[in-house]
Amino acid sequence: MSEMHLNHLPVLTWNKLKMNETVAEVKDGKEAGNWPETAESPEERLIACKIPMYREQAFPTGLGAEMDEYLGAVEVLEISESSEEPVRLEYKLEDGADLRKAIYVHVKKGVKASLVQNFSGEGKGQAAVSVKVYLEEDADFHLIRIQKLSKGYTFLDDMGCRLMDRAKMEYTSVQLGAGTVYAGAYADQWGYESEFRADVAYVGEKDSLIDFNYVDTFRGRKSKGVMRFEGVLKDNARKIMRDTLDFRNGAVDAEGDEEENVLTLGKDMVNRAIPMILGEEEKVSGRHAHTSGKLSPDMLFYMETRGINAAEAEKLMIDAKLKRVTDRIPEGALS
Amino acid sequence: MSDIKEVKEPSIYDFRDEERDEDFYKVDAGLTEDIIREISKEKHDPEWMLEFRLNALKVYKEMEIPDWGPPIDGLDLNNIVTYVKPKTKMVGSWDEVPADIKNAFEKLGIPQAEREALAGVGAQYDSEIVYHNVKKEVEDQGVVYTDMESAITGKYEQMVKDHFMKLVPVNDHKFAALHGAVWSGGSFVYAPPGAKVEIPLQSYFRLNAPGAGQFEHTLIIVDEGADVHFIEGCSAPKYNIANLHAGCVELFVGKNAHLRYSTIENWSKNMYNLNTKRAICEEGGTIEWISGSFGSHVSYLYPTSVLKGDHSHSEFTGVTFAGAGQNLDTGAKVIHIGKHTSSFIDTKSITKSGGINTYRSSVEIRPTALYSKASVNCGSLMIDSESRSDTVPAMDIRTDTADVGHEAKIGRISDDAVFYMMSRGMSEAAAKAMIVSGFASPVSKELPLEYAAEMNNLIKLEMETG
Amino acid sequence: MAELLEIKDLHAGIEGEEILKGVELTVGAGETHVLMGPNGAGKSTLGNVIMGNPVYKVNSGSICFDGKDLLEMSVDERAKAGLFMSFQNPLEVPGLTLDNFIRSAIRERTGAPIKIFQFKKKLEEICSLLDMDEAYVQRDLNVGFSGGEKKKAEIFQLLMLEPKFAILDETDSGLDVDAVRIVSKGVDIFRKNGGTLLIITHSTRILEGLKVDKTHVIVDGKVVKEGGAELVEAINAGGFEGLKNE
Repeated sequence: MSEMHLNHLPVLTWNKLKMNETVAEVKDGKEAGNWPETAESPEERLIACKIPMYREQAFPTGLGAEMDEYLGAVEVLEISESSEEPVRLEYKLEDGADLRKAIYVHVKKGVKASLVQNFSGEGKGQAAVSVKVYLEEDADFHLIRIQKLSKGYTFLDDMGCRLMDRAKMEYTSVQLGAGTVYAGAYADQWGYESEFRADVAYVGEKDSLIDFNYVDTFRGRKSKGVMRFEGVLKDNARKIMRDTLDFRNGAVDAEGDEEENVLTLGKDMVNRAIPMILGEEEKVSGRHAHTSGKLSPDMLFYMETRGINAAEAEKLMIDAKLKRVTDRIPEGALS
Repeated sequence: MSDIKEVKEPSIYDFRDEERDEDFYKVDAGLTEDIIREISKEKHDPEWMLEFRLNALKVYKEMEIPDWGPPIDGLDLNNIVTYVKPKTKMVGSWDEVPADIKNAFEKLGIPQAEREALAGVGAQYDSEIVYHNVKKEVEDQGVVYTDMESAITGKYEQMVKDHFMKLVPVNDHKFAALHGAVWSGGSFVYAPPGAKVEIPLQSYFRLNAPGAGQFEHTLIIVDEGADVHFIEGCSAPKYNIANLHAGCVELFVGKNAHLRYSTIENWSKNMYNLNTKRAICEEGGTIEWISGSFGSHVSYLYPTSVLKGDHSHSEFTGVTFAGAGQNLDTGAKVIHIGKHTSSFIDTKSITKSGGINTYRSSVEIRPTALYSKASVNCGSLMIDSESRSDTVPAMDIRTDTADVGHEAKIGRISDDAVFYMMSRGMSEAAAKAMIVSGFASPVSKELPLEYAAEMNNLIKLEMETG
Repeated sequence: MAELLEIKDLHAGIEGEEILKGVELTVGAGETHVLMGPNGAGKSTLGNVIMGNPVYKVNSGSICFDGKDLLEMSVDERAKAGLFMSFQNPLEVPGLTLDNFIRSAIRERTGAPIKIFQFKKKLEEICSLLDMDEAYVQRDLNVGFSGGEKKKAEIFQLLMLEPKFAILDETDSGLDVDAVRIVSKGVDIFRKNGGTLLIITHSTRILEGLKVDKTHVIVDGKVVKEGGAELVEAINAGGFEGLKNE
């Protein structure tokens, strides 16, 4: 096994909190990927604050630069025709698996498409996947990732997208399995009126670890971003959520909204979160909300008055949380 | 010697950052044992305090500078001794006081005599008298309110010794160690069980003690069931020729006691304000922080509440205003240890004219803190696009019985609101100042009237300049 | 008629404050009762105490329902025993559809799998009775519902769950005409199916065209007057002032 530094916090905080980055144990052997150079890459404005990661990664992702150098050969997927039918990629992994997958998706002007990635597997293993999506003007892309790996798996789940004018990117991610999950996403909204939306559901149980880093960077005027996280932590599951709205200079009239709701159901669970809003543009509006706790007494009482006991109410709430995310998946996309 | 050992041992009060070596640059302290001995002698320290200082000096030399916050390379750390023993302790004459400070005094309507006192050039005119009056009133209740130098050599020596830098150990961070070595001045308050002090105690009256306002130490012990309000600082700009402030505040809130600690801080714009404030609450105790930060070039300020006792409670209400040339890194920390503890953080930051504002916090709910509640609410107001405003709140929740909520918002002054006010005859600047004052009102409405008025004046002044 | 609900010398309140100070109240099976009283008299408290809201503490007294000691039962047990209470502000649950919620509730009550065909038929029936679009049950529970829609959803649940005894808390609903109509209609159907009702209100509008068997007036935590439907009229005309002095 070897070390990988990933999920870097865009702005540092107290080292003692151990949130600035994560050092993961990954399978040996790394190979730099031949990621294509993205045609339009406007010069990044330097900012006064120390931002440790992005400069080293030309096309940033949530997990960061070391992931680019780990996955090897990159598959390039050019999409130049709209399709209602999603591209479906099934990954059924066998015990001992070491899956490494790097995909570069180039969605051409005005094209609407979607990609579904389904991960399932038995026994122990590691799955590492990164998808970078370059969306030209008016492109519309939906990436759906469902992870149902068994507990013996480590899942390295990476995403990066770059949005040009009026492009729309939606990312729906459901984390139901794997004992260890490192999940990162980075949306780089260069485009005027570009829109990004991420919906993430996760259920942590037993001694699982879920380590997130989601960043939405607003650069284009009137860019909009929404990030929603619905989580459940049972037993002694541990989770850290880094979620950042980063408003860069020039993102006039940008709007960002992030929200995480965690249902805490395990006596020894650990729920850590650092929801950041970074602002160097005045004319923006950003909002973040985080809630963490058990079912509220009011909610429990309401459920109970209809004859639903506490255990059943919890189950209903977990399903409700997952459904809020899976509702984003178009009908038929999973079949 | 036993005291020196004690500070080296980790305790629940030890919130030291575990920093990594490679991230720091080393400095040559230039501060020697001889200098410390000299300070100690001048101050007529008891023997244990001299030893305390010498130990702190050792720790200071071993520790590194943090890598995560605003840069402090403007400080001449290779020659730290110049901050500790500046050649001139006070400005020689009124003429030497910088023009912007004089101007601010003028606009705030502070009388000439007081201006000179605040700028450190004049004698402390009639505030001595006011101070004594306050002293009389609190003494009737059995409350001790005195300067640290007197406390340490007087009747309360043992009490000071038992509490001094126990909550903020010298190895907490480099500037806490520096403070431990060279501290000077400050206030000591002891409220006996059940004492209720109606009038706020104000450190303002003691601003000009030599060395005060630079490495001052505030120690407040509120015994069971007692109630105290302490006010630190004032809205007038405070000018020091040496531009490093490394004060330390330690607050011990007893069982069912209540302490409100208010600060209005307006250091001159060349100041590095590296201050450490911490409170610990016993069962049923409440700490309330009211904090307004306006001054300094760079600030690191995160008042910390340790909710040790069951049912203890903390509230933090803060406003930070960063203008041209300022990089203010402020916020709060809460550590929930006892059951049914609750905390509430409400902060507002206002940023303009190229200023940098960082709201930084951590709320930690330990496994023992069953049924605890925490709520964090922070708002950032950006006045222009040259400025930068970051919100960096961390949460670490380790019991599923906790109920935690966090909300943050960033935005600007609404054009509609400005238009509405202008349509009623207000100038744009006045309208904006009024909106900003309204935004900051959670703090001003918690302050005594005269302070609130001063704070609003200050906001108006800040909105007009730059 | 057999007594369905029997409350004796009930003292209850919130931490440190007694709100109900010895309430006596009896409701027979199949009857419709109205509980009236000025603001703060303890009307809603009584409803919540019967249902077992943990916010309220019972200090002494007894509540007997269908021969069982209610105070010994948890909230869901009470619901399973046949109690129902409508909420002024029903809780919102994003991601949980009304349909799914009601299915779970029925499954919990009966302990048996739902007979899909019967369920569907009943759902259609009730939707049409309440003038409700069926698509509406696929919406998330109370999320984004208007006041009237929330009311409808509560009455819908009442009819779907078929409790023996329903407490309709209509205290401060500020009901619009539409909502009044829904409640009245729902109440009518519920009664016709043999249901027992306790309607808590201070407005008489909701009671128009409804056959009231008994009226209880509660003032300052005690039932001060009881009577038939005519008492509603009397209060309508004279308010509660006169009653306080008795």
